[in-house]
Amino acid sequence: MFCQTEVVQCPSSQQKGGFFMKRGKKRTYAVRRKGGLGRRILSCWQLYVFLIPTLVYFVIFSYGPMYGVQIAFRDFSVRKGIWGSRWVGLEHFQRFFDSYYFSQLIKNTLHISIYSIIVGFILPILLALLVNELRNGKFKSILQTVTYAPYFISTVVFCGMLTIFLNNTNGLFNQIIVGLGGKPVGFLTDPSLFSHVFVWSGAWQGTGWGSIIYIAALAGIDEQLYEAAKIDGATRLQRIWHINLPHLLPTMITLLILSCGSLLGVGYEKVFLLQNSLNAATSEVISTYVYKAGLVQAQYSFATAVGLFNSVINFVILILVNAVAKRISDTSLW
Amino acid sequence: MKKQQKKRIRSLGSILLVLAMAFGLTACGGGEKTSPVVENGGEKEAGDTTGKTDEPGTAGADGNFNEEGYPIVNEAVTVRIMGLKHPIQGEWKDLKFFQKMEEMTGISLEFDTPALDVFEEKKSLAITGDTYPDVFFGGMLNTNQQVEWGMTEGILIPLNDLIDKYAPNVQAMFEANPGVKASVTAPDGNIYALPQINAAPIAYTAPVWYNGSWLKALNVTEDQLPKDLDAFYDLLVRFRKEDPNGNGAEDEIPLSLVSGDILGSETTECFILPAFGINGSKIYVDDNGVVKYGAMEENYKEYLKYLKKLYDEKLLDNDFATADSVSVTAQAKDNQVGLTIAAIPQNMWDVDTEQAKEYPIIRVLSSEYTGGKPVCTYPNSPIQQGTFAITDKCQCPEAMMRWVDYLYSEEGSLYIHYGDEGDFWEFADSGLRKHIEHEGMANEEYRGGKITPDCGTPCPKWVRPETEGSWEDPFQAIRIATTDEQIVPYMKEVFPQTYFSESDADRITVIKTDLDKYMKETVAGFVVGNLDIDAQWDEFQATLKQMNVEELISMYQTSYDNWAAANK
Amino acid sequence: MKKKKMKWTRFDVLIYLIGFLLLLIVLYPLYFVVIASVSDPNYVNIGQVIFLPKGFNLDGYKRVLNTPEIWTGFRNSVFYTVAGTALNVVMTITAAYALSKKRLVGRNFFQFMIVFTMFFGGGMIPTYLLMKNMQMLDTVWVMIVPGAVSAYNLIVTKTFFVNSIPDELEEAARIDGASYFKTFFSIVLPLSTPIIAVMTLFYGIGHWNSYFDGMIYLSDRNLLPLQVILKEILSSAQMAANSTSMSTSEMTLLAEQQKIAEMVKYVSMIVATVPVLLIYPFIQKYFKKGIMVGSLKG
Repeated sequence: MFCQTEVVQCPSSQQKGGFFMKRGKKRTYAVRRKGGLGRRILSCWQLYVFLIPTLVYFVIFSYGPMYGVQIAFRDFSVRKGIWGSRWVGLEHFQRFFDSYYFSQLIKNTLHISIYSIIVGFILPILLALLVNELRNGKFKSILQTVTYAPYFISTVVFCGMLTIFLNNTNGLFNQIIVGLGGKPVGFLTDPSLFSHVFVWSGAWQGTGWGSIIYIAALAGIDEQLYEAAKIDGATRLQRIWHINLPHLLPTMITLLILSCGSLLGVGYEKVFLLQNSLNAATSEVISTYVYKAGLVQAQYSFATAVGLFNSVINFVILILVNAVAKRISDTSLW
Repeated sequence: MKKQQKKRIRSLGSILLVLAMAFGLTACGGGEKTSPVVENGGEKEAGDTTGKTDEPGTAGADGNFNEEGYPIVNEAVTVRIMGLKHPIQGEWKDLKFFQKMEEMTGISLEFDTPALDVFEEKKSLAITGDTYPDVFFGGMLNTNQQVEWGMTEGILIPLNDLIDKYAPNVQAMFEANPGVKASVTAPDGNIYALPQINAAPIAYTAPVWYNGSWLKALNVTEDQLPKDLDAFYDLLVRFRKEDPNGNGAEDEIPLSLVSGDILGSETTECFILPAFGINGSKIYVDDNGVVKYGAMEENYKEYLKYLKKLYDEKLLDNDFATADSVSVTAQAKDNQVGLTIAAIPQNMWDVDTEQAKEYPIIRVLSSEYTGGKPVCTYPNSPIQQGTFAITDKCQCPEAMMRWVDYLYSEEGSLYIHYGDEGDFWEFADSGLRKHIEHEGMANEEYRGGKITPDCGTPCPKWVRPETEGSWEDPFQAIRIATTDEQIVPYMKEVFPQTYFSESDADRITVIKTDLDKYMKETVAGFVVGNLDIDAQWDEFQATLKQMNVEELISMYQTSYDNWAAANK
Repeated sequence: MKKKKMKWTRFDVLIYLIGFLLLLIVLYPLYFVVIASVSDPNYVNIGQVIFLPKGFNLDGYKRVLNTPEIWTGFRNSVFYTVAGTALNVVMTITAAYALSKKRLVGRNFFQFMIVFTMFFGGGMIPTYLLMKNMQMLDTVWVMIVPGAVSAYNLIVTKTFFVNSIPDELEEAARIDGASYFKTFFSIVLPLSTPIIAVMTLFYGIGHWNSYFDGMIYLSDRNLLPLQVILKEILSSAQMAANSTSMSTSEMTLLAEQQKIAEMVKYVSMIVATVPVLLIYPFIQKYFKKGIMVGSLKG
């Protein structure tokens, strides 16, 4: 054995194995130590041929402009440029931390973000499993196409529709609620409802799209596994539990780690469009705050400083989550 | 790969062009260079170009530029301009205005016309990347940018000398409109950008209209329109209770705000609030030249209570927070709206010009807080900042000053707006202008699409007050007459356009980021009852102070004092 | 692999029921977009368009399809999408394959380095300067090259390779003396159709929907992609931000523009989306089961 194998090898061991199985951990290290560094590099030169264009790309287009981060520590002036602007150290960070709204922003951002991550993580998996259980045929492909279509509704139009549907007096939802004898609900004006509106409308829009990657992964399952399971007398649910889910697990974990890495990264556009003076207490997040600050006057330094703050926190979280994932599941980003 | 080569050739071409410009092959010369030499050594191209213009190659130095008459230059000169393109406009190079100007002046223009969404970014990037244009036309340069890019960085050149020498119309504009010069002069005494002036009151007052069909249903004549806060309230109650739209349902929205924000709504801010003796919720200057913050005045509490009463009795649109002009328009077309802002009632309600005459403009309100004196404010300024500026890259600032000066003449300011006779308009028998209809295109669409950028883009020009009345439009005449009669005598300016030092401007930005947000949310909270006006008033005042509102006031006071001194 | 006709179990009924319900929930708002696109915007905006169009008209469609720039935009978008996606997929699949091999020396370092770029970047200004220095501003390249690889997609693809391509298949071939190149083309690629399909979709849609780069890096209007053109038509319900004039013509302009924007709001979205929805079934078929590992192994 030269190489560790992580993939599903044998149906029976899979079925008995649990959700979080440790596989072949020790064997890896045996391989690592073999041969000198140069020889090992040489032995996989073809892989480098594959990798190098991408690495070059990242070096030029991502690392190249990275010196721009220092804008966060300077009072950026468009004329003096990045190197010429005055160095102000942590002033912009200080301004952010000192903001009257700092703690509210962090709280709102985390609330909305964690809520979306959970819903946005679970629903696509359920949908993919469901679609996978449907027989190949018209209904299946219609369901897939239809659930994926909302992804293409632009945020502006989508928020416009939401405002129409959720209007207090003549919106569809409140017409139904009032018709059933209820009191109109201020979906967009009651601060306690904002995160629900945001997250579930997001689920409506993104679940089908999010399920694509899982559906593709499920397509990769060896039919023989199912046959074998059937012979063992496993029920459909058992098959889902013991074959499908474990097969999706690495993808699930990878995506979960990645989404944990965007914990402070609630995008501004949708929040901004659904926001108003009455729900702002729960709807103001870091990105909308920075966006609005920029409306008063373009503030590259402040925006960069806040962005950098977000990135550092996100990256630290990613590293932690990745380490945890590595320990308990054997899947990790590096 | 071929494409890449092509690109390289093209870029070689552009280098040649730069060199050509540097050695004055296209220069128009004349007079001394007004542009300061760029200090920043890092920006090579700019340095080179300014440095070498006096080479012998500057052929037409005396010959090419004409100080009077047209064309302005004898040999064609190309100038790069950057300006905001409104989506209703066609490509600028196809607009008749620019074509005609080129024909007349001999100056041909190259355009960079970003959309509004990215305009500020594009401007900043152009300067950072040293690709900024020769001229900003419709460039929306606010006072802070004028200070930073003009005063501090020397990118925008001072225009004072050029105005004195080559711009009689601009001078006339300054003379005819006292206060304008002070409002466009940076703290160092230089003018870095020319404004657009529209001195007709209807250009900057807020047109708030009553629903005429409702007034009729309730037998309210124009003379009986409310003139104080109590009468105003009474009329709104009748709008709500007496079913003026006659559909049997209590679905009337007596007062609609289109902005989703009480502080941003002209009806509340310019008509109701001033009747409480306060000229603005935020910064304003009182009759004695003292800068105040409206929400810190004692009467502001009464104002909030008044609005809360309107809200509680559903006289103020209870969905105001989610309303915008789109939803209010839809409601008005459905005859649910009693009072709101619109250019003309026809834009809002489902009426034609004839019916619209029955839709009167709001009357200025008074109350015991103003001693029975009617007071209102206007939301906009006759001055629009930063519509035209020349940068240090421009080879022929004199020619461009003459070019733009034409737009401040009466003829030019009409031309940039309406274009040629017989195209968008013609003279009617009355001697006034009237539209020429164009199949399948709304009027403004045709004007912006074919004729001029002065349709959505803030362009340099001086609009005479008479101009607004030069149109054969019975409704326009009424609007002008009622505005002059009912609004103008009582209106006050909230705060003039002034400049701040760079450090003050930075500090103001920091303070306003939180303060404006707090004000917007808190006022809305008070009005809908999420916050208790009496119980939480002190807390409100304390928080404003905590947010450094007093520092803000003092910075505005300094700025105002400078402006007032310059105005003397 | 042929399937025998299976009996409908209670389980089947249940999942079809759920599926059907889901379909309805998702379908209604989509249906709404369609009826709204042919209705009078004023009825739409006061909630009177619910099941059927009201104030039926095709003005929005006429207007959008008559905008001359729509067609150049469409052509540009197709080009950027096809060329960009081709580059994306080739680079992503090859790099992800390399990263999926444990033997690759420096693998963890490279992965860390790539993930790092998801969090830290220079921002708009230095990126713009880079494009300028590479002379890509106002060329088609700026719409293709700067987004050549997405770190996110690269990680997802790598995860797929690690988990769905059985290593023993490859190892067997390698013991027989096949090179990485050979195993990649003869074994890995044929097994990777689902991920290639997914990546084509992800990248393709990304290109199709992108507008910000176009707005920032392109000044030549002949190069603008469709989404920028549509966004310009739509985004204009507001006047120039600091345009303060309230003269009648300015405000009439505003009203007219608002009317146009409302009229084309739903139409423009449909116009931009229909091509993408038409393509989806072709990609979808690569997600179907049964073409996979089993057949190769057998």
